[in-house]
Amino acid sequence: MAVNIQIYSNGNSASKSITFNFVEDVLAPKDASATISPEASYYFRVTTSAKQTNNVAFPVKIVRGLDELVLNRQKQRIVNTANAYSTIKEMVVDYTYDFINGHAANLYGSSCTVQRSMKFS
Amino acid sequence: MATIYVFNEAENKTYTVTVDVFGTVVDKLLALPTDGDIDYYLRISTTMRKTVDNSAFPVSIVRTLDDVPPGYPTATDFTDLVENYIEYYMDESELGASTSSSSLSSVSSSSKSTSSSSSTSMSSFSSSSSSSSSSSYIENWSSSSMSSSTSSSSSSSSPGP
Repeated sequence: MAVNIQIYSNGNSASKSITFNFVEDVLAPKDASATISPEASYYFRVTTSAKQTNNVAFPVKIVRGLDELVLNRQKQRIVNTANAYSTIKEMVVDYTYDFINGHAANLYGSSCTVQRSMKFS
Repeated sequence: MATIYVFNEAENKTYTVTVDVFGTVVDKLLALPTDGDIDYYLRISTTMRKTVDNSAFPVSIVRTLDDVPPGYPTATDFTDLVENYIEYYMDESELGASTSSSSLSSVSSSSKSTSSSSSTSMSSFSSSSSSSSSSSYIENWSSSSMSSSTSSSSSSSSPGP
């Protein structure tokens, strides 16, 4: 079972969804030259079939702990702090906000790349 | 959903630990009135049973990394959290201890160190994960179930790492 969050755009009369699933995998690093740990990790996998406004798919987001903040794991939205999320609910709400609204590059000096908002049209 | 399989060699029996994410309105029967907000949390359950009275473990509701098994410190991440729950369930079920005690009786009253060293290697676990969709619903959750899980910690001889 996973949690599906439905987002409805009144202006476009269209719905999109974001899925939060809790899974277990051996995670391979992005860097091909890095050593892969054979140990399994338990984490949240956040996915959506929605596209960004430039028609680019959203990347899959992996959340291994409550200190993995949205915006390149360094800063929370709005409140410019490096504090970890205190609850799973707070994490889910913040990631959902980020999918819907997108963010600018290097927001709060986090070195994150730009992400467009969710496309409903 | 993540399902971890725990195999006990002595019993030739497989137990499961299930970790799943839920988004529901939680009714806190013995705490504050329900505020109507949807809460997102992990629910951890197992088919293992406590050795002390053969009762089932209560379902654990995890909202923060502080919601750990009795006697364990705050988890550093979700992997640490789940691994500690698996360890706690195996410890309370005495899966390893039961296998070592059976070998003790057949061997005679050999040294304690022999039995304790074999106990940790008798069980192995593997895991798998899957996904499906769910819709929100209202769930009754009593805080008394959490307190009962806390009280069970007193029966654990070595809950912490």
